[in-house]
Amino acid sequence: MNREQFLHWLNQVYSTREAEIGCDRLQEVLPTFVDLEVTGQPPPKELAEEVRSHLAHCPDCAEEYAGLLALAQLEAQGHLPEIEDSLSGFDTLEPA
Amino acid sequence: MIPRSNEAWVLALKQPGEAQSEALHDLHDFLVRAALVYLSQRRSELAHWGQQAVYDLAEDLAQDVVLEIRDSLDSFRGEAKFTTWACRFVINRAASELRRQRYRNLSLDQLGEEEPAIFQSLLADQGTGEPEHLAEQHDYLALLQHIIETELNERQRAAIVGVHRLGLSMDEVAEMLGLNRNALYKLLHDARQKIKARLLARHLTEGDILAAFRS
Repeated sequence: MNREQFLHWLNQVYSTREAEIGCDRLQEVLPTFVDLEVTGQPPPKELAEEVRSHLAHCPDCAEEYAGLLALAQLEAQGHLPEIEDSLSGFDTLEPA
Repeated sequence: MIPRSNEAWVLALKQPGEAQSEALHDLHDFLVRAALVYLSQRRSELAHWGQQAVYDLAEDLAQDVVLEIRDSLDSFRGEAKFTTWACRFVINRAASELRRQRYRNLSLDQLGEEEPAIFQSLLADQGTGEPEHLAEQHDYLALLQHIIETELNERQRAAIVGVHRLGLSMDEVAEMLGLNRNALYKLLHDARQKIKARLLARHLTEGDILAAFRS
């Protein structure tokens, strides 16, 4: 590990809680957590702690949380991009 | 797509007929849009993909997720918006698919080979620190190496190497170990608990170790 990886890993070790929810449980509660965040309502304390602890220790779930939050925010604002808008960032021609 | 309440979505999707066809169609279209938003935000990971390939991927993801949602309707408790709940499925699949493309196809043996060197680059780095700090750093790293070697099992050590040294995704390391992501998380959680317990048994706090690594 380099120094940055080591310090991040060390923090992960020391921030370990006795009971942490797994990825399956996180995926179950994530939509509710994200909706509360989008509407600016504070989540129940236990839910918030469980979710934040898991996300701090799971890069894959953290990545998906960020994606779901972004999508839910767009959808709530009525600004979910149309298909053409999302595709416009990609080339029209397939590479040879 | 007509706006529907949670109840309207579930009712329409459960009952065969015109309402169900319409709801399935709307759900599919919504999921394609959602998948494309997610993929377009990760354009850098799809650098060589053209529009058609990206669209086809979004379509495939949406089709799979419509089926998954139809089979999972009874687990929807209405605590979240139906659309957020549905998006969670498509993002999970899209993210897993993008990770699969980054797989480096390492073997478990290769992870095992990296293990003794887990802190090697740190130990080798003499830096510009003071000698006492360097000696202290060396001692802490040696202690952590010892704890990892004596307290953790082979799979836990391989998982730490994979995720924390090589920066592989949880999905990739899970597949290498023949686990799903949930089981890998629990494996790593158990490992973290063991390491933390051994450090605290020696009255070593995170601050103690950080102090030695501050240049």
